[in-house]
Amino acid sequence: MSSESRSPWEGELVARARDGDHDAFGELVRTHADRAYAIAMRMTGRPADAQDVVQESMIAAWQHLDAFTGGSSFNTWLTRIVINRCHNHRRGARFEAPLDAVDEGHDGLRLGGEWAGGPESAVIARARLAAVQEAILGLPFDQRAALVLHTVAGCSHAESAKTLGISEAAARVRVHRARAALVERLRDWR
Amino acid sequence: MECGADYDALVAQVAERRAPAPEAAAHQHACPHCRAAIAELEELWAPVSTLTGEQVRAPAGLVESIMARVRELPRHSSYAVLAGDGPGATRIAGRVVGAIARRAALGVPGVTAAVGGGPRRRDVMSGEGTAVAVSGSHVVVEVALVVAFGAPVLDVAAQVRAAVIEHVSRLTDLTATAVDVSVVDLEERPDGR
Repeated sequence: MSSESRSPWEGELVARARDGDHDAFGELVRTHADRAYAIAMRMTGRPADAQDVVQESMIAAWQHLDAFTGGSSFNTWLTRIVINRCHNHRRGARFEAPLDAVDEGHDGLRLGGEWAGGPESAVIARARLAAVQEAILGLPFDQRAALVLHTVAGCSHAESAKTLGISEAAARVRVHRARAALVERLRDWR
Repeated sequence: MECGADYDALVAQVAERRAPAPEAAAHQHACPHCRAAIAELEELWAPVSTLTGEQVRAPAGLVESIMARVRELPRHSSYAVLAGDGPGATRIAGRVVGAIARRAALGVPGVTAAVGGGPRRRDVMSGEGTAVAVSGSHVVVEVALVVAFGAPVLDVAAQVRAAVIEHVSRLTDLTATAVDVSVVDLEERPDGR
């Protein structure tokens, strides 16, 4: 899944959306919602936050389409907004009263497939995945963003660099550091 | 590492499931340090690969909720004004009230996705829309919901209305004079999310 893949009609959709065409923008939202949500989910760790981030990002994209110059793909541009929103969301969350009820049963870790070892090993596997998500959340924001773009969104280092506005070398280093930190955390957890 | 191999390179090799260069492969095959390190890394990294490889899809109805909000955007004023002792005014962005409403709605059992509209300030004295702030600030909130299939829609809507009014009042001191609830979709996935 390359962030630079462009459908031939994407430019047309963007142009129509910029002119206020809701249906054209809806098509763009539909095309990019899953990827944006997957990134937001791993960046924030919570479906409620991920939904907020995607909603805010899409609405910001709608409101600021004029600023999209076509210098990158729409996907790259939107992903940059999503990452920025994840950053703001995390900072903003500290000022909000906790709404604990939102979290119940919504940790976002759904396991597909059958677990041969029965329910107990499924529970253990789920706990391990939750621990990984926690470890990812514990990474510094810059490292987390680089790691999520590379491993979840499938961006090359060059694509991540473009999205994050940094050099390709810097993107590579952030992913390396993120992995090293994750390995350390997961080793401690074991 | 003791054998001179680069540990970070081993981490990258395991994380990317990449075959090492022939020379490194020959070394790793013979080196107990490298074999032990790779075995440990593969075990540590397995759940990371599982998690990051999971197919995460946007919840059903999210796109519709977003578009409902986008279509309504021009109708909403962007700020409500809170009464205060001053000096200075306290303004609260409509999207903040929307976010509070969404979160309140998501706390109601049976709601699987929600999007909150911004507030429209109303002059409670005249009962008409007005641009003038009055002593109390009143908002009308619109919330679009996706409800789990099987949940009683009217009950859910009523609970959402109550929850939104309570949360908006408690967190912002604004009074939600009306909460318009739109159920835009039903979530039919068997896992209940």
